[in-house]
Amino acid sequence: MIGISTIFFLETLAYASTLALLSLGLSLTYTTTRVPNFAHATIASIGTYVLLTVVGLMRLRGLNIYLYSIPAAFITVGIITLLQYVLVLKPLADRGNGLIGLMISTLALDIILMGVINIYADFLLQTFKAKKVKLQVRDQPALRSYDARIELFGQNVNVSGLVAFATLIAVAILLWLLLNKTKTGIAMRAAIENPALAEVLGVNVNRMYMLAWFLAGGLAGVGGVFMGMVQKISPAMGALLIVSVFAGSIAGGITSVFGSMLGGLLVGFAENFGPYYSSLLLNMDMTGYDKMFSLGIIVVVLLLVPGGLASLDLSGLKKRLPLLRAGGVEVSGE
Amino acid sequence: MILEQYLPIIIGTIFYISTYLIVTLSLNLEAGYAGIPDFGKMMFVAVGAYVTLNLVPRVTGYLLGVDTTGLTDSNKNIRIMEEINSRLVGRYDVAAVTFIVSIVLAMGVGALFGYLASRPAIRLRGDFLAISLLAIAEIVRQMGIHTDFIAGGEMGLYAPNIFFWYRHDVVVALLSLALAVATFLLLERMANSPLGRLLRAIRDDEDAAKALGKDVTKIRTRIIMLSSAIAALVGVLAVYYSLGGTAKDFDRVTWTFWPWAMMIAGGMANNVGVLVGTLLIVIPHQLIFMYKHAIASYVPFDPAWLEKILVGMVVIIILYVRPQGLVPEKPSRTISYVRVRDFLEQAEKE
Amino acid sequence: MPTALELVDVNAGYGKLHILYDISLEIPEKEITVIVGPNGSGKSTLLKTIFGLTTIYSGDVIYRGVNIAGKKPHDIAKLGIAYLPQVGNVFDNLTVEENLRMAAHDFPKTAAREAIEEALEMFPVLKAFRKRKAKTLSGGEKQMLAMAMAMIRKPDLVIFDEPTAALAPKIAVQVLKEIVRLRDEFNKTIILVEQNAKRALEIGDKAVLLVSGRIQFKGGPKELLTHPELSKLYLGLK
Repeated sequence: MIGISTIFFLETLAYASTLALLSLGLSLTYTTTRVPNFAHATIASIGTYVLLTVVGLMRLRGLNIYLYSIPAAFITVGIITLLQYVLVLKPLADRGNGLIGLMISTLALDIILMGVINIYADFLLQTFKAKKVKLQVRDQPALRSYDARIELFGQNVNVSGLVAFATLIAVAILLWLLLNKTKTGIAMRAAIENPALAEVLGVNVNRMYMLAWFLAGGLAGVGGVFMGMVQKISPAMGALLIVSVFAGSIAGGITSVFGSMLGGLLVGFAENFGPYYSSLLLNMDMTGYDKMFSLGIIVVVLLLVPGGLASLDLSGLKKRLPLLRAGGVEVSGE
Repeated sequence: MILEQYLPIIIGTIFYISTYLIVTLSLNLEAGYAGIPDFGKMMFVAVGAYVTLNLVPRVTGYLLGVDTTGLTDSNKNIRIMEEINSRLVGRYDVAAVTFIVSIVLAMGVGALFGYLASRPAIRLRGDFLAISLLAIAEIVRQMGIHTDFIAGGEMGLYAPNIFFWYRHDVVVALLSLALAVATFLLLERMANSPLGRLLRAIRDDEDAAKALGKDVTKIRTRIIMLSSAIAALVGVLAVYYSLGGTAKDFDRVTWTFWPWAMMIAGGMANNVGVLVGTLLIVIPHQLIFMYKHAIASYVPFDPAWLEKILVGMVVIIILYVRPQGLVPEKPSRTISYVRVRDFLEQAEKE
Repeated sequence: MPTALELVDVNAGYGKLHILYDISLEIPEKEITVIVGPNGSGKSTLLKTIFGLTTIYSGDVIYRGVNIAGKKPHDIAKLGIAYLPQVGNVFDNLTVEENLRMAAHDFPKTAAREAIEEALEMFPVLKAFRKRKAKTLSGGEKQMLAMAMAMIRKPDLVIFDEPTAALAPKIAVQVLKEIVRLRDEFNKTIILVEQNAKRALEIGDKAVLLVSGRIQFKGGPKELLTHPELSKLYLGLK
């Protein structure tokens, strides 16, 4: 690509794949309970702390980092997210809380988790000190120097971008197979689309939702691992990430799991390449404005295609165009 | 003196109760009565502060003949502000104008932000509105931190001390209290007016309201603008209270989640409930702050984290135990009970 | 004809909202029982009550000697009762085959495959659409799919809630023909709620008129159709 170095491209690929994993999971949980999980980004940062713990305590380097931290993050964060559904959202929904109550509960959980991560960071710091591990727990620079390296286009680069993208592709294929080729997956789609009918047919809808939340959390945890490889690690990292994750989900169509995955990739690239190219174009420093690009995507998509990219089929576009020309699309309700 | 020892904490408690009451009341107008899930509340408080830090001192400087070029440059800011503050002493006219300008500008910019931030999703489902408001608020905060020209970036900016004639913290705390009382009375009146009933009707059945020919989007937009203008006032108060501020002060936990927690705890669509909820959360917070060091010796980490966990859990528990809050929504009174009773008594006599 | 299902003094509703009052009713085996009545008279609620989807305050629902009042829907389904709701009775985003697989989802693999093939034999129209998503089917085809899904479990009693609502008259007649076929060829007991009373009563063996949650008439369909007052007052027939 014009003017983009291989290293910059690979870092962007790692970041975009991370966002894709997060947006995908966010949509998966959204389709089950119809509540946007505002804790999703902070949940992903738990995965980053799993990475930090594993790398620090097991003194891992290179590909071993991924070998151990990905399964560990998947399981840990998957279970935490499952607990969010089982212990918080499901009971609150059963008690008759509406959308606002459920949304605020995810915001509350976000804050609880932030507190927990900070406390955990304090403990981790003491452990690191005792074991003479030279890692920070707050404002630790990305773990680039721990990463494995390969030769690519004559350059010596980190593998994080390639591993992240390969993981994303593998996740996409496995998820597609699960949802379309297995009994459980079809039952999950059925339970998501029409829980009442699924229940009548004897499907345990609650168990399907639990599986969806576990998977979504697990994938967020894996995303958190890649996050720590390319971005500064701090307990507050989720607060910034949340805008990008929602931008990815909204861009792709928040009820479309695979659409959100593509949306996440799009947002990841836009956030890195956008400032880069606009700096060149406007001849001023645009770094630091990366989140403006995800906000821009949210605003444009909500104003023009509230259903996201997944809703954009050709017939839909044809119907929409005259409306757009006539001065905007009005959408309300479902 | 015991009083002198406790005065700062008493003043602080009055200030925090008053300012949180204002923000939470304004949130209750949007979320409780009109059903608008404003998850970007912090942005409206922040813009009030940005205005007071960035625009208002330029007016004050102009009136006092101080050159304010480079105001947002943290190196120059301190010198400019020292100059303004030294010339300000005794100039009650300039102080009054500064105060009025900051109120008017903050409310205006607050309303403008309310209008702009609600544009993308005001017509969409509630969760989209919540997401976009939260996202925009995060961006407003990040912009404030990462650029110098808005609020001085990481270092922040100083503000003029217009209450030079007495302890400024005492004056601002009492002023906040007065404004909180005024906001309470105003919003309580609104809640029992035809407008209040209309808002609840829209919240409970949007389609029915539309069918009756109500322009739901327009009404919602106005409510967000009014609510945001009120919230921006708190940004002004916060800046005058600490004679400065940074974009960092206005984060999602302190100025979005806390007001939500207070409203949920007290009971939505009920201004008395908001008062109860505010007291319920601010007072323990002040106590934790006061006894921070004592608590710190019992727990092996910063008590601030523990407080986050506790407030989060309290909200979830209240949602579970009493989804309607401690003081549930009452049916609106069009005529007060007392007046009806008096009227009936009089009718009986005749 | 022996009785398949019997309701004895049933009072039911949703939560505190009392809708059905003292319903006593016998559903004969291998016949079509048609329930008619004005809007809001509690017809759908009566069907849901049989299937365990409402709150029963008092009374018994006896299916083949077993009291099923208070049982959960999926337990009732296991006893051989199928319920086809008025709307949302197929999964739009699943293919025809996936929909049928869902209906057989707790069957062992080979049994599921056999049951799906059998259901497709009963409704040959669907064979051509196996891989198509349900949302691409026409209204009539969707009803066939819903019926095929209900047949997977080989129920003895099939409950239909307005199967012809929102269908073109010609297609509605076809759907009703399929229901008659279920009785004649497959010996099913059927309870049918219909908005178009005349059309339904013509195929029914027994008629029940429900007004404001109470039974106003039980007997032969012809009798109800020709009843001088009831047919005029409640069915809009002259």
